[in-house]
Amino acid sequence: MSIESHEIAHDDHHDHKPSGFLDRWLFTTNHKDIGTLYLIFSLLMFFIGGSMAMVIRAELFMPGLQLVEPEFFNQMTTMHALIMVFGAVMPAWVGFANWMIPMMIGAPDMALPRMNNWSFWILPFAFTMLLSTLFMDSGGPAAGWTLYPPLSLQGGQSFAFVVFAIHMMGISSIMGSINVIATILNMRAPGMTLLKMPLFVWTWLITAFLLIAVMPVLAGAVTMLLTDHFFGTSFFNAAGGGDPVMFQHIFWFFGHPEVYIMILPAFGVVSEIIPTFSRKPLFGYTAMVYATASIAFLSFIVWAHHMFTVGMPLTGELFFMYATMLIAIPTGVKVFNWVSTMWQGSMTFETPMLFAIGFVVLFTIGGLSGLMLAIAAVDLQYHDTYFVVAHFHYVLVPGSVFALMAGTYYWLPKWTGRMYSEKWGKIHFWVSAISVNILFFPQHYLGLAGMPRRIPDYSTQFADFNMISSIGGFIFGASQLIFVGVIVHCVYKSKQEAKGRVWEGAKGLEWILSSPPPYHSFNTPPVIDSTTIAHVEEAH
Amino acid sequence: MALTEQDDIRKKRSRAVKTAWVLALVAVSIFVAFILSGVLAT
Amino acid sequence: MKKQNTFIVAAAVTAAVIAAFWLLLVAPGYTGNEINLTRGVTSQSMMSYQMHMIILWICVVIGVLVFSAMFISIVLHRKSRGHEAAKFTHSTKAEIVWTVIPVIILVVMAVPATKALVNMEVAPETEMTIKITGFQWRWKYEYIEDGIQFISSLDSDSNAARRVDSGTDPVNVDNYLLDVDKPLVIPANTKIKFLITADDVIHSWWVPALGWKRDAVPGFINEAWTEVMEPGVYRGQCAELCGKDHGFMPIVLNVLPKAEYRAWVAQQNEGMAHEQAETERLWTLDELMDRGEGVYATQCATCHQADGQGLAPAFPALAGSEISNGPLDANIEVLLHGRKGTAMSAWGSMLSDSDIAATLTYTRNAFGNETGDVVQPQTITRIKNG
Repeated sequence: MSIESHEIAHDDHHDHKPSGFLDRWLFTTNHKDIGTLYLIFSLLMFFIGGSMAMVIRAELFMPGLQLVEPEFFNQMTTMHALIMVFGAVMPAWVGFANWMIPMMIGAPDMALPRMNNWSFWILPFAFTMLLSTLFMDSGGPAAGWTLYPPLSLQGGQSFAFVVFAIHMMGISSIMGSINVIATILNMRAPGMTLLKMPLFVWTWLITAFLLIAVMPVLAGAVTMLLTDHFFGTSFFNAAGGGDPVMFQHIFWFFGHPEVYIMILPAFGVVSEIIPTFSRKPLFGYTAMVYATASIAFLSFIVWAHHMFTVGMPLTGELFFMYATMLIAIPTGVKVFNWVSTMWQGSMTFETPMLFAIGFVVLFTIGGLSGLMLAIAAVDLQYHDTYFVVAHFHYVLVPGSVFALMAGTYYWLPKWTGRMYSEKWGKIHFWVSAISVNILFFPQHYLGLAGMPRRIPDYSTQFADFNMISSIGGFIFGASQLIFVGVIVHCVYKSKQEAKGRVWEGAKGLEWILSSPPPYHSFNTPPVIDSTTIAHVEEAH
Repeated sequence: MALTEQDDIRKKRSRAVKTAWVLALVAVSIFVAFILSGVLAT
Repeated sequence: MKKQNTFIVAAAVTAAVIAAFWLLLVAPGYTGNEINLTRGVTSQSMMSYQMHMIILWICVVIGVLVFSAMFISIVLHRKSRGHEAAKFTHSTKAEIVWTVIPVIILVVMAVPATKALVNMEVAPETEMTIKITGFQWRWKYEYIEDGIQFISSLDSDSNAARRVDSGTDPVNVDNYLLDVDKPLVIPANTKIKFLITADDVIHSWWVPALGWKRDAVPGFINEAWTEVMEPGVYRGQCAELCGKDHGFMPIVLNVLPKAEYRAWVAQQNEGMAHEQAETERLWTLDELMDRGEGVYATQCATCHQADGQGLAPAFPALAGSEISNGPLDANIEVLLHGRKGTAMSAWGSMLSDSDIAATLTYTRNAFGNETGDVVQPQTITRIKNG
C-alpha cells in the first residue's frame, strides 16, 4: 500500500487507544469515537422510528381499522417524528460533525472533549425515558410531535417524562453546538482562514448558531407545558388568561429553524461530494457560504407559515407569505451551484455521488412543494393534509437522510480503512430511490384530493394511493437493511484496503490522513497550501 | 519548540472555553426570555 | 461505451414505467383517484385553485429546467466518455442572473397571491351568521338569526364499520367517514359569516369545496365567510389533530336553494317546538331507556364502549362505577359540565334536556347497574336554570 508523502500512518508508536471497553467507550473524549457512538446510536434510532412508520403504513394500507386503536396510532405518529427528528437525523449530523470537523480544519480534537462525551451519553438516557412512556399506563405522547395544547395537556403522568426527555435532548444539542462553534472559531490550523474552510464546516458552523438560538426556545415552550399540566399555570389555557396559539408561535419559532438545522449539514455534505466526483471545484464557494447564511437568517422570520389557518391578522399572513417565498431564492442559488459544479465536470457515479445527485433532484421536488405551501391562500387548502406530509418527507428523507447516506458511503472508507461493497451500495441506492418515490409521491395527490393528516382511517376514495404509498414504504424500510449489511461487511469483512485519498478527486485535509486515521490526528497542525485544501480563496 | 506548541494549545483552549461560556449564557438567556414572554402575556 | 448505453436504457425504461403507471392511475373512468385540488363552489375556492395551478406550473417548469441540465450533464460530462473537467470555479454574473430572475418570478407571483388572500380573509357584508363549535369529537352548529342549534356527529353506519375488527368492509358503507347524522344546511347565493371556536382542544373546520379551513381554538373566536354558488352536498373533515377520534368527526354541508332553505328552517323550528313540549311532559321508564340507548350509542359508546366497560385509563367504565351508581346529583353534574382536563365534554351545551335525562336513566340502569333511577327532562331543565 502506497503512502502519500505526508500521509500520517495510524500505527505510529504513540497512537494508543484506551484498552478496556468502558474506558474506550463510556469515558471517551476522542472525537472519532464519539462520532462513531453518535452514528451507531442514530442508526439504531432510525430503525426504531422506522418501525413506527411501518406500523403507520400498515394500518393505512387499507381503509378501516385493522391493526391498532386510534389512540395507539396517534402515539405512533407522535413518537415516529420525535424519534426521527431528535434521535436519528440530528444525532447523525452531530456524529458527522464530530468525526469530520477536527480533521477538516486541522485540529487535534474538539475544543471541549469532556463536554463532548456528556453531550453524547445524555442521549441514550433521554431516549430510553422517551420510549419507556409507550409502556406506561398513560401511554406515550399522542398529540403529534408538535405537542399543541390543550390536546397535549390531556396526557397523563407520562407527559412529565416526555418533557424531561426533550430537555435532555436539548441540553445535548446545545452542548454539542457550543463545542462545534468553539472548535471552529478557535482551533483551526494556522492558515486555515474561515473562507478556506470546507463548506461542510461552514454549514455546521451556521447550524450550531441556529441550535443555540432555538433549542432554548423549545425548552421554554415545553417547560410552560409542564407547568400548565402539573403546576396550575395558564400559559396556554384561555380560561386562565392564556392563549393556546401562543404555544404555536413559540414552538414554530423553534420549529422552523429546526428544519434548517436538519438540512444545512446535508447541503454541506453534498457540497463536498459533488466536487469530488465531478473532479471540479465547488462552483461559487463564496456564494454558497452567503446563501447558507441567508437561509439561516431568513429561517427566523418565517415561522408562522405553519400557522396560516390559526386566525392571524391579514398583515401577519402577508408578511410571512412574502418572507417564506423569499427563502426560496438562496435555496435555489445552492441548487444551481451544485448543477454548475457537475456541468462540464468529469463525473463518475460511485454510491456517494448517486446519493448526492438523488438528493439534489428529490430535495428540489420537496423544496418546490414548499414554495407551493408558501402561497397562503392555497395553503388554506393544503394545510394539515397529506400534501404537507409529502413535502416535509421529501425534504427530510430523500433530502437529509439521503445526504446522511451519501456522507456515510463517502467517509466510511476513511473511518474504517476498508472499501465497502460498491455493488451493494448501488443496489441500496436504486431500491431506496425508487421506493422512496413510490412511498411519498402519491401523498401529494392524497393531500390535494382532501385527505387530512394524522388520521388512522380514511374515506374509500383515498384507498388506492394509500395502498401504493404503503407498498413503497415496506420496500423502502426493508431496503435499509441493505445499508446495515454494507456497513457491517465493510467494518468486519471487507478485504479491500482504502488509501488515504480514498477518492481520486477528493480534496481537503481529511484525505491526507491515512485510512483509518490515527487515533489522535493533527497533534501537530498540518501545513495549509493548495495541495491540502479543497479550493483557493477566490480572487475578487 | 515543544514549549511554544504547548503555550499555543493552552491559549487556544482558554479562548475556546471563553467562547463556550458566552454561548452558554446566550442559550440560558433565550430560555429565560421566552418563559418570561409567556409570563408577561398571561 | 456499453455501460453508458445500459444506463441510458435503464433510465429511459424506468421513466417510461413510472409515466405509464401514473397515466394508468389517472385514466378516465378510474373513479375515486382524484389527483388535483378541487375547483370548489365559491369564489375563494376558484381563486385558490387558480393560484395552485399557476404555482404548480412554475414549479414544473423550474424542475424540468434543472433536471434536464442535470441529465444532460450526467450523460455528456462523464469520465467514462473521456470528458475532461473544465477549470471554472465561479461566475458572479451567473449568481446575479439566477438570483434576480427567481426574485422577479416571485414578485410576479406575489400579486395574485396577495389578491387571493385578501379575498379569502376580508369578509364582505354578510346576511347570516352561524357559530361553529368543535368538540371532542363532533361539531355543534348554532344559527344566530334563525335560532336553530344541533350537534352533528359521524353517522352510525360509518361509526360501526370503523371499529377494529368490525367485520364490515368500508367499501360497503356509503360516504364512509364522510357522513353525519345532521348536516349543516345553508342557503345558496347567500353571504354567510362563520364564527368558529372550540370547547376543549384545537380542531379545524374544513370543507374543501369552500376553499379554506379555519382552526377552532378554545377560548377564541375565528371568523370566516362564504358564498356558495351551487346547491349540493359538500363534505369535509376536521383538520387539526384533536385526540383519538380526530379522523371521525366529519362535516357535511347541505346547500339548498333559498326557498328550500327557508322551508328547512320552518321545519327545524317546528321540531324544536315539539322537543320543547317533550321536555315539559313526564316520560315513562321505557321511553327514557329507549331514547337513552340511542343517544348512548351515538355519543357515548365511542369512549365508554357499547358494554359500558370503558377503555382504561382514559375512558372510565360506567358499569359498576361510582359515578353511575352513586348520588344522582354528581352524575348530572358530570354530564352537564364535563370534566376539565379530560375528554369528557360538557354535554349540557350539546344535548337537549330530554336527551340528557334519557342518557342518565339509561346508564344508571344498564350494564348491570340497577339504581332504578328515572330522570325526567324537567329535572335537568330545573338544574340548568339554577
